[in-house]
Amino acid sequence: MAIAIVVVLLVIGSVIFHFASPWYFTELASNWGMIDATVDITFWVTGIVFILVNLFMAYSIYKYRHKKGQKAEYEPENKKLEIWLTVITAIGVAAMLAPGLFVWGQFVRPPDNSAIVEAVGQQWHWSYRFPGEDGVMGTVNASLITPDNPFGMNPDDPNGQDDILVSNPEVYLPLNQPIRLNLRSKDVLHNFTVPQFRVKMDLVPGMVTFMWFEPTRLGSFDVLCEELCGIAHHAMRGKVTVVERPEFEAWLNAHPTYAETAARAAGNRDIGQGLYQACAACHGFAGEGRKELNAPKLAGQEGWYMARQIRNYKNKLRGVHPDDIYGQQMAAMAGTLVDDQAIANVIAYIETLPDEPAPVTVTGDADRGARTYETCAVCHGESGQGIWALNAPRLAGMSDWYLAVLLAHFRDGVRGAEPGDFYGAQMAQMAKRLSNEAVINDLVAYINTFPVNSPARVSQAQ
Amino acid sequence: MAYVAIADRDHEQHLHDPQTFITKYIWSQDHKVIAIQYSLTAIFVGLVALVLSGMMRLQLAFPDVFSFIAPIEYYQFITMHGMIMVIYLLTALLLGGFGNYLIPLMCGSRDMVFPFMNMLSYWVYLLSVIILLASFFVPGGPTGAGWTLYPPQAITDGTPGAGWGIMLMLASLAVFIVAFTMGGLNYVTTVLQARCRGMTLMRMPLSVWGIFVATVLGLLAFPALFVSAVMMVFDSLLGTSFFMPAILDRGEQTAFDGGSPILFQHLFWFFGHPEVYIVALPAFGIVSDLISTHARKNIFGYRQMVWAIVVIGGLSFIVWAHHMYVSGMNPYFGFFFATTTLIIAVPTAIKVYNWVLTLWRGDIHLTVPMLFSIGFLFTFIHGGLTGLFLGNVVVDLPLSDTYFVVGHFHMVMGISPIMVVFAAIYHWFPKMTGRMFNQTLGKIHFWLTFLGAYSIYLPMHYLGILGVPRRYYSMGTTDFVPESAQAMNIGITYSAILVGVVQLVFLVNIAWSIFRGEKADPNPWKANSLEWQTPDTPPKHGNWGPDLPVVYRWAYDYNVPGAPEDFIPQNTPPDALHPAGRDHGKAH
Amino acid sequence: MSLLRKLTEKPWTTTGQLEELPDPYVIAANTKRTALFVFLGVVSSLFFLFVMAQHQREALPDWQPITALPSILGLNTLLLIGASLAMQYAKAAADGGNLAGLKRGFVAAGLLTAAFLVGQVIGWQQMTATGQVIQVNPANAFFFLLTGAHGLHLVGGLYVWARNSVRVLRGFGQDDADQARELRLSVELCTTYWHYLLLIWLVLLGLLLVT
Repeated sequence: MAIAIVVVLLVIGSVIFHFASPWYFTELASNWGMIDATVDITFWVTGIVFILVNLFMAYSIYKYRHKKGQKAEYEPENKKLEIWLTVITAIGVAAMLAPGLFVWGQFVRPPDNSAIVEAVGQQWHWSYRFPGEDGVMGTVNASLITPDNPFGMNPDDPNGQDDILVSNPEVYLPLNQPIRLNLRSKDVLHNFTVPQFRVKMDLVPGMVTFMWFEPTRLGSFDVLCEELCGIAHHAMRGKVTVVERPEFEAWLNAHPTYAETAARAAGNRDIGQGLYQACAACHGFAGEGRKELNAPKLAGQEGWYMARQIRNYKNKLRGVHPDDIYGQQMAAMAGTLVDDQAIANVIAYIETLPDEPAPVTVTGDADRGARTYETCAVCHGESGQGIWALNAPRLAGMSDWYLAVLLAHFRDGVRGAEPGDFYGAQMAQMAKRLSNEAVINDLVAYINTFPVNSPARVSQAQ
Repeated sequence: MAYVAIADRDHEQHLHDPQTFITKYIWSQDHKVIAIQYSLTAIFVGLVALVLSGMMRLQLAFPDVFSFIAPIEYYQFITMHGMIMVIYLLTALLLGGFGNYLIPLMCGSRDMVFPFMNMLSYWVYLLSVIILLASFFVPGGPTGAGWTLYPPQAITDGTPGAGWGIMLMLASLAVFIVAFTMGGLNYVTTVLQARCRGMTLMRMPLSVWGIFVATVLGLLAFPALFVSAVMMVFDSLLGTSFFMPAILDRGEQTAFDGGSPILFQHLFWFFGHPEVYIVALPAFGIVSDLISTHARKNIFGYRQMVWAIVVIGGLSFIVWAHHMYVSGMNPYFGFFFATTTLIIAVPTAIKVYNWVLTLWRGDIHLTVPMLFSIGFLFTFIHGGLTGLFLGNVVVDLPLSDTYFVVGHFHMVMGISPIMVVFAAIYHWFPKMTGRMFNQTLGKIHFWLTFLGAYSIYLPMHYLGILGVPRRYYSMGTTDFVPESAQAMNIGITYSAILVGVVQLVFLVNIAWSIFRGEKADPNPWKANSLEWQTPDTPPKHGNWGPDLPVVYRWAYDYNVPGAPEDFIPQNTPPDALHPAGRDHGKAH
Repeated sequence: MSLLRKLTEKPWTTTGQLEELPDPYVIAANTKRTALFVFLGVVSSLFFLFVMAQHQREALPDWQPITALPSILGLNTLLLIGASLAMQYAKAAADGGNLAGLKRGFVAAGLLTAAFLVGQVIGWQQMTATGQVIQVNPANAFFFLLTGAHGLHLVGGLYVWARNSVRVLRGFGQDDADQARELRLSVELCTTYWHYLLLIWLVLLGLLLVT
C-alpha cells in the first residue's frame, strides 16, 4: 500500500524536480539548437512513458494488493495486447530515433565553408593551430615533438610554414563562422568539450578526429577535457572566446607562424647580462636568490618557465592580486623587458649562472611530505626536476621558502586566480589540498631532500 | 566421473557423501556451498567497493578537505569501485552465486554436471579477487585508468598505477575469465543436458532462462576482454604497438608506433556491452519469478519474456559502439549503432510491460522480496528510459562523459540489479538456511535503500545535463556550473552515506537470522518452482533424496481456476490435484 | 522436435505431458559433447577476436607484412595434419574395437602434436635469430601472439591426451563394456578437439600467408 503511494509521489516529485530545479542545460552558444530539440523530444517521449507505466504500476499495486479471499486472474498471455504494445513502443522509439539520425547526419558532414582549426591536447593543457594564409595545415609527426617544436611540425613541409601556432589554452573564434575543429593528441586520449556548444569529440593519439560547430553567441566559454587522461584530468582546462571577426583577425595576427617561431633568434647572453643587472639587485648576481628581499633563486630554473612568468607579469596575469606585494614589485620590474627578444636574452644569461642548491630554510617532516608529493611528482618529476611537456617547473634545489610562500598563495587564490593564467589555475586547483602550513612545510622539507646535479652538490657529497 | 551425477535417474549415493567439515564446507563440490562461497566473497569485495564509493562522495561533496583522498587516490578509487562492482560483485554474484544455487535446483538436477570444475571455478575466482586486492599494496597502488582501462593512459606514467597496478588488474581479469569459463561451461551444460524429466525448455523458470542466456553471453564476450588484456600486457611489457601509437609519455618520446587506441575500445566494448546484459538478464529472470510468486499470478506473456531475453542477448553483440559515439571512430558508424541500440528498447519495454501486467489483476503480497522487486521496476524503468537518451547518437553528444551517464548506468545496472539481488536473497534465504529473516528489518532496509538510492542518482542526471563531467576529482571554477550544484553534490553524498550505512541493517539481519531466525517453512512463499519442493530444507547434497523430481507443468500455475490452492508445484501430477474432490469446498 | 517448435510451445497447454527419457549413457555422453562444443565456442570467440583485431590493425598505415615467415611452418603444418589423421585413425579403431590400432593412433597423435609444438618453438627461434623480434612490427607481434595462443590450446589438449593415454595403454577387458564406451567417448572428444585446432591453425596460417 505504502509502496503504491510512494511510487506516485516519486513520479510527481521527479516531474517537479525536472521542471522546477535550477539545473538544466547551459544557454546554447552554437548552431546546435537541433540537438537541444532532440533532447526535448526524448524527454517528452520518455517522460510520458515514465509517468504512465509507473502510475499504472502504482494503481495495480493499490487495486490488487492482497485482501482476504482475493484471487488472481489466470491469463498466460494476450497476443493482441502484446502486439499493440510492441507497435506503440516501436513508434515511440522511431519518433526519437528519426530526428536523432537526421541531426547526426548534419554532424558528420561539416559545411563546405567551414574554417579549419586544430586543437591539440596533451597532458594537461590545450594549444591550437590555424592553417594560415594558404588554408592548408602542414603535416605533423609526434616523433618530431621537442621543447623547440612543441607542435611536432614537419620543418620540410611548405604548407606548414605559415601555420599559426597558439601555445595557449585559450583560443579566439569568430562569430557565426562554421568551424571544423580538427583534434589531435600528443600523448593519451582527451576530449574537447564546450558545454555551451553541446558537441564533443575525443582526441586520439595517432589520428586526427574532428567535429564542427558554429559559434552563435559572443563570450568566453570553458573548454573541458571529458575523457579521463591521468591524474590532472579535472584540471585540464582551456577557453574559447567568441568575438567579432575584426577582433578575431587582430588576435590571430598577434600569433607567430611556424616559420617565425623556427627562425626566432636564440637569446643573446651578452645582451642578457646587461639586462640582468636590474634583476641582480634583488635576485643576486649569481641568481642565487635573497630571502631578505623576497627574491627567489633563478639559477638552474627552466628557461621556458621563467620566460612565461615574465610574460605573465607583463600581461597582468601575475602580480596583480593585492595580497601579492612582492609580485606587484616584480610586475613593475618585468615591464623593463620590452619584448620577447629581451626576455630570451636575459634568460639566456640566467641559464649560464652557476646552479648552487639554495640553502635549506624550511623544516618539516619529510616523510609525511613524501606522501603529499606523490601527486606533485606526476608533473614536477619524481625528484622535482621539472618537466617541460607538463609545464611544471623545477623544484629541486630552488628557494624552499619561496616554494612555501607560493604554495600558500596558490591555495589562497593569491596566485593563479587571474583569468587567462591557465597553468597557475591548474596549480591552484592542486594546491587546494594543502590545508595548513604544517602540510606545506612537510612537503617543502621533502622537496629539500632531492639531489641536485650541480658540481657543487656533487663535490660536497664527495 | 561427473556424468554420473546427471545421468542417474536413481540413487547414486557415492557422490553425495562428503565426510568432513573441510570437504563439506571448504573444498566442497556441492553447487549450493559453492554458490554461498561465491556470494560471500562477492559481497565482501563489494563492500570494499562500497567504501571506495563513499570516499569518492566525500571528496566530491567536500573537495580537498580529506587529506587521504588526493587525485591519485580518487582516480584509483573510481577505477577499483567500477571494476569491482561490475565484474567481481555483480557478475560473480548473479552467475557464480545465484546461477550456481538456482540452476540445479530449478532444473531438478543433483548438482552441476562437472562438480569438480565448478569447485575449481570458485577457487580461481577467489584467486582473481586476491590478485585484484593485492594491487592496493604494490608500489604505485592500483590502476587509476578508469574501469574501461583505455590505453594509452592506462600504461603511461601520468596515470596512477601505470606499472604494477594495471598489470595486476589485467592479470586478475584474465584469471577471473578462466574462473568464469569453468563455471559457465557448467551452467550452460547443466541447463542443456541435466534437466529432470519433464523439464522442457519452455517449462524452465525465467530465472534459469536469464542466467542461461547471460552465461552464453559471458562465454562469448569475455574472450574479448581477455584478448584486449593480453594485447595490452604485450604493449606494456614487451613493447609491441597493438594499441599504442607514437606518443609522448610525460615529454619523453616513446618507442611505440602506429597502434590504435580505438582498437582497444572496440574490443573492450565488444565485451563491455554484453557485460551489461550479463548482469541484467539474470536480474530480469529472477525478478520475473519473484513478481509472479508474490503476486500469486502467472507471469504475463511467458513466451515473450523468454524470446525477449534471447533477442536482447543476441542484439547485445551488435550495439557495443554506442559507448564510442564520441571516441573518434568513423562517425558514420553512429547511424548503425544508434539504430540497433534503440531497437533493443523494444524487447526491453515488452519485459517491463509484462512485469507490470503480471501485477494487474494479481493478488499482490507486499512481502520484502516483492517490495524490492517493485523497487527494481521503478529504478529499471527510469534507467531504461535514460538509456534512450544515451543510445540515440546525437542526444549522446551533450550528455556523453557527464554525470548523466553516471546516473544512468548506476540506475540501470547498479541499483536495479542490486534491488533484485536483495529481493532474491530475502526470497531464497529461507531455503538456503532453513530460517526466516526479520521482516521489519527487511522493510527498513528496503525503504532506506530504495529512497536513498533514488535521491542519489536522480539528481546526478541533472548535474550531467548541466554539463558537469564525470571522473573529475574536483570541479574547480567554471563559468557554467552554478554554486547550487555543489549543494546538490553535498545532498547526494549524504544520501550515499545513508544508503551505505543502511546496508549494515541487511548484514545484521542476515547474520542474526542465520542463527536465531524463526524456523522457516520449506515453502514459505507457496512457490511452484522445484527448489521449494526439496525433501530437506536447506537441501542436502544431491538435492532430491532418493528420487529425482518429475515435472508436469510450467512454474507459473498460480491461482489456476478450479485448483484447490492458489499454487501448484511443478512436480504435481495432474491427477493429484483433485483427490476425490475433497478440497473443493475449501476454496470458497 | 525442432528447436523452434520447442521455443514456441505454450507451456500452460502441455500440463502433464512427459517425454521419453533416453538411455542414461546417451545423456552422459551428450553432456560431455555439449560441454566440448560450448568450450569450442569460447575458443572460436577468442580466435575470432584475435583475428578481427589483426584485421583492424592491418588497416592502419604502418602495417607491414612479415618479411620472411619461418621456413619450418610448412613442416609443422604437416605434423599437425598428421596428428589429426592419427587421432581420426584412433577413433575409427576404437569404434571398431581394434585396441592395438587405438593405441598406435592415439600415441602417434600425441607425439606428432608434441613435435608440432617443438617445431613452433623452432619457428620462433628462426624469427628471433633473423632479428624478426616481436617489437619490430605489428605483424610480428600478431605472429607471436596467435601462434602462442594456438600453441597453448594444444598444450591443454596434450594434458588431456596424457591423462587419456594412460587409460588407452592400459586398455580394457573384453567384458567391460562400460570402460570401453567411456574410452571411446574420450577418444571421440579428443578427435573433435584436434580437428578443430587443426582448422584454427589452417585459418591462422592462411592469414599469415595472405597478409
